[in-house]
Amino acid sequence: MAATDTSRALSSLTPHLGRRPWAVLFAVVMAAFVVGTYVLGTPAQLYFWTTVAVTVLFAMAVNLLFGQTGMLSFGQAAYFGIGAYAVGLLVPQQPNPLLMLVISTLAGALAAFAVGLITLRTTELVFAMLTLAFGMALYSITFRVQAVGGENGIVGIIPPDLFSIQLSDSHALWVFTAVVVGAATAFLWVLAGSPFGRTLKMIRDDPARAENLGIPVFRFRLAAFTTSGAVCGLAGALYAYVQSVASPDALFWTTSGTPVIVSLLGGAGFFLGPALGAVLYVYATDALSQITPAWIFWIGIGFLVVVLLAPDGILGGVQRLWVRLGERGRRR
Amino acid sequence: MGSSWGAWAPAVTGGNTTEPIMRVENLTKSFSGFMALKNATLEVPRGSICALIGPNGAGKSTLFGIIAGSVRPTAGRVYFDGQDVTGMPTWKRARLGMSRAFQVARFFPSFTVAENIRGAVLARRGESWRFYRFENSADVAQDVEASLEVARLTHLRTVLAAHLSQGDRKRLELTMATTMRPRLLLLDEPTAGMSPPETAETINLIRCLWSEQGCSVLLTEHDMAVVFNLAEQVTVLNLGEIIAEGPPDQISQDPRVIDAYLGEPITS
Repeated sequence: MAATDTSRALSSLTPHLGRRPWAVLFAVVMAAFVVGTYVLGTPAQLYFWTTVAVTVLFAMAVNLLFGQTGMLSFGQAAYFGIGAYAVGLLVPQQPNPLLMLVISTLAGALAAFAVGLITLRTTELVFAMLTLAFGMALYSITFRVQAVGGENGIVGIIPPDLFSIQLSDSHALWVFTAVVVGAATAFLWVLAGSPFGRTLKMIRDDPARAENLGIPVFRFRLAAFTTSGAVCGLAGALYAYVQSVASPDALFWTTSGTPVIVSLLGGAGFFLGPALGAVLYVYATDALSQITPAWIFWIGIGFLVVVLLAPDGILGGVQRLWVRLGERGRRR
Repeated sequence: MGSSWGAWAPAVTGGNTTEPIMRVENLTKSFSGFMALKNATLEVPRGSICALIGPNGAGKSTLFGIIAGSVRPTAGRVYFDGQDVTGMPTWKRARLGMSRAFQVARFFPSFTVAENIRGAVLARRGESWRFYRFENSADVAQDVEASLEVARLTHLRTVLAAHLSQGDRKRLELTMATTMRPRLLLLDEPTAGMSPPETAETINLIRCLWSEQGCSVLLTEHDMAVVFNLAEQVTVLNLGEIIAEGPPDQISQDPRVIDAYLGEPITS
């Protein structure tokens, strides 16, 4: 009955109510980490962790589509970039930074809804290509339009004060970013465990079965695409605060590729897979680029090794190891 | 979310009880010139079990697809409970009470058996659009348990569906389809790939669900023993055309059917 044991172990690891104590423990550890780095971290370290947090959020937004709904979009940079440019364009008005986040989120959602209406009626491959096309079209436009800074983008973005807190300070910006990313992660976690999130996974597993159960697959995909676009827009807004710039680079197709790669690296089938992948990716990029100009080559090698050894990503590999150890333990 | 977003209550059974639950009229389907179905007209009387038989490529799958909504007919109409559903998407037909099991079982492989059925229960109750948890709602759990028990899948409840045997996969899919409490159950070769004991058990299960739920059934099947065991009415398709229709004992002696499909008369 090895198969039964394995599946029992697998199902106990999928997100359920029974895991809520772990979620609380995880949140407490993360909060402690944020406070610890706030007290002890240097500005350079905090800049690093703020970048990590933004990448984590972007990756989780993309994985809502890729890992949970089974849709591969090559154009999520569009909504990330829209969020960044929305901040860039609004910063001169000095609005409340939280209001700007809301506006970026809504802009990402609106753009994704419009694009989704058109692209989601097509097949998997055409969908991937069309999302890529929309992203690159937006890239070309920002590159040429001087009103949004042309090829340089909008530079010198300084986040306005949140009430009396100066977000231009790297310590304050780190806590602000961490809290926003934490809240968005909590939102995505609740969504993943809800009947809605379950339905998305059903659609990923077998859209025809879902449709025959009376589930309007297109509408669910559109809802997932819009939600992903919204969170991508939010991540883009944070990116603009952290990097002080909204440039066409944020819209380029390579920006769309990163969250997909980090999801695969950490484990696209796991809620925290993309987060783990993002942490490792940003760390490896940072560390390797200080050692060698060929850092991207070594990243590629590392990615290849992980994919070959653990096709389900790092968390998938850990899970399989865990199950195997459990079986060995039971046999003794 | 408005009601058009999928969260409405199951339709109340209404309409004329003498009217057939499902009727297709003059259905024609051509795939780039190839006529898969020619002018097919067919009725499923309310509360009956009907079978669709015929050689491979006769157009059974096409007809099934058109009824369920996954294939658009070139011409003709589909009526469900008196309502024209020809242009209606599959999910809306499912909501109206049409439930389909595929020839190769379709289910959710990364979910456990119980979770698969839970998905069907949530879909039937129109709760798929909820954005927050409500795990272990007693009603849902009760429905899931009842379905598991009827299908004798209770002992497999925590097994990942991907790890099931062929026969158990078909049974899981059939259970998901009937968990929807359909008014018309569409079964595409419900015993394909099953061992004789599994086949017997499945025939029993179908009969049991049919009499318990009072639904109507339309099935295709290659195993004539299954057809003659279950169906009250048999329709024979050959080369996209309906060539015979009637009760099983009449069909089994029909010379056109013997010539096109059976090869020799069948005595049951």
